[in-house]
Amino acid sequence: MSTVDINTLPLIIGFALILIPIAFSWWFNIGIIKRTLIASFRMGIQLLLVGLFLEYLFELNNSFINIAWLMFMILVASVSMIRNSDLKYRILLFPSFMSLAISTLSVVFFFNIVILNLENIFDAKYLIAIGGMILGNSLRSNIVGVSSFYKSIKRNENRYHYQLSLGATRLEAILPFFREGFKSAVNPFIAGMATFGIVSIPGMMTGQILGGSSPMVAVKYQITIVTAIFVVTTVSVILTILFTARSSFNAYGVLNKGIFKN
Amino acid sequence: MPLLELNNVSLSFKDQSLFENINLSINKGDKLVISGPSGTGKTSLLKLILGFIPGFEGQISFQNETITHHNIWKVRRSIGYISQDSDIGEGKVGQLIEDIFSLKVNIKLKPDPGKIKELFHFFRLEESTLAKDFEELSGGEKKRVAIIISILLKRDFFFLDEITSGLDDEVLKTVIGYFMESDHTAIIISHDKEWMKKQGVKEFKLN
Ligand SMILES: Nc1ncnc2c1ncn2[C@@H]1O[C@H](COP(=O)(O)OP(=O)(O)OP(=O)(O)O)[C@@H](O)[C@H]1O
Ligand SMILES: [Mg+2]
Repeated sequence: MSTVDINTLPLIIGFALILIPIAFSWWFNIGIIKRTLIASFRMGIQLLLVGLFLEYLFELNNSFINIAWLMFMILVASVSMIRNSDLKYRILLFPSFMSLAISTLSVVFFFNIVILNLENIFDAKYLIAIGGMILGNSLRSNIVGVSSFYKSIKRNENRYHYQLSLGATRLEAILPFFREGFKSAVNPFIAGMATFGIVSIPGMMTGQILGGSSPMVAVKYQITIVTAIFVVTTVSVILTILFTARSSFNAYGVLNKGIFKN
Repeated sequence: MPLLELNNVSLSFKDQSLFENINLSINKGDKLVISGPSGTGKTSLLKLILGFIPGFEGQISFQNETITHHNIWKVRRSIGYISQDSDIGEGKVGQLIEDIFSLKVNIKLKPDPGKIKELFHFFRLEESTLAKDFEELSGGEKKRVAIIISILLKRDFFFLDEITSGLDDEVLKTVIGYFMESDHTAIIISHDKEWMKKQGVKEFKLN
C-alpha cells in the first residue's frame, strides 16, 4: 500500500487556500499580506526544490553524499540558530556547529545501529529523514537555551560579578545562569511531550500512517524519536554553552559584550 | 610593602576618559575613603581592580605581584566586595547565604547558625529575615545582608561601595564602627561624612 499522490491541479488548489488568511489580513488591515505572500512562496519553492533534490539523493543513496548532506543541514541549523539569537556569527558559528554535529550524529547513529539494527546505517531514508527530524526539532530549544543563558548573564551582570568576587570559579559563577538557560530550553519540550498523541498527532506519525505503516509501528517510532530529540536537545544545549563559553568570556571570567549583535 | 598599588591607571569608555594616571598605595590596615561627584568613576575603579573591566591602562599590583588573569582569582578571594548595586542574588536569604558557602573556596568557612544570628542582631535585622525572599527586602536590609556575608567570609580587605546609603543613623554608626575599629584594610566609597570622623582615615578625591 502506498500513499495517494497529489496531482498538480489539486496541489495548486491546496496552495491557493493561502488566499483565506490573506483575505482576512486585508479585511482587518493587519498588514502582513506582503510577508505572508513572500513566506508562503518561499516555503513552496524551497520544498519543491528540496523534493527534487531528495528524490535524486534517495535514488543515488551514496553513504558519503548522505553524510555530507546531513552535515550541510547541521550547518544551516547552526546558522539559523545564531541568526535567531542576538549573538554574532564570528564567535559562535564553529562551536555551535560542533555541538549540533556531535549530538545529532551520535544520537542518529545510535538510533540506526542499536534501535533499528540497520544493515546500512548510512541509508538516506534513515540518516537524512531521521537526522533532519531530530535536528529540526531540537533547534528551537537550543536557540532558546543558549540565548537565554547569555542574555541573563548580561542582564544580571552585577550578580555574576558578585559570584566571581565571592571566589567562585568560572564554572561555579555561570552555573546558575546555565541552569536557567537549560530549563528554558527543555521546559516547553517537556510540556509538549505530555500532550503527544492526544492533543497533537506529531508530523512524523502522520507521515508514517499515510505511508502505510500501522499506527502501532508509527507510535513505536514516535516514542523513540521523541526521546532522541529530547536527548539531542539537552546534550546540544550543554555542549553549545560549553564550547561557546571559551570564546565568550575573557581570561578574567568576564563576559565579552562583543558577542552580542548591536 | 603596600598591599595594593595602582600605577598610572587610566580608564576610558569609548574615547570618553573617566580618569587618568591614578596612583594609589594601600597598606595593611589602611582605611581609604574615595569621594567625588556622581559619574566620576569611583565604582569603575573598584571593578577595575577586581578584573571586571577590561581594557584599562596602567598597572595594578596586589601583594607586590602585578595582577593578571592568572592571579586575579586569588585577588578576588582576598577581597570582601560589597557592590553599590544590591542586586546580588535571589531566593530565600538563608539559602543565598548557604549557597555562597557551598562554593569550593568557601566551604571551610561555613558559619554555624549561631554566628549568623548573632550578626543579624548586631546589625539590627530580624531573625525572620533569613526566611524571606532576598529580592523582597528593602534596600537597607539588602545592604546589611551583604555586609554580614562579607564578614562571614572572613576576608580582611574590604571594598565597600556606598554601603551606608539607605541606613538609618543608628545602624549607620554600627556599620561604620565595625569596619573602622578593626585592623581590617578597607577602600570605602561614600559621601557620608561619618567615615571621615574616624582617626587615621585617608581620603582620595576623584573628579
Ligand atoms: N561598562 C561600561 N561601559 C560604558 N560606560 C560605563 C560602563 N560602566 C560605567 N560607565 C560609565 O562610566 C561613568 C562612571 O560610572 P561609575 O559607576 O564608575 O561612577 P560613580 O563615580 O561610581 O558614580 P556614583 O557616585 O553615581 O555611583 C558613568 O558615566 C557610567 O555611565
Ligand atoms: Mg558608584
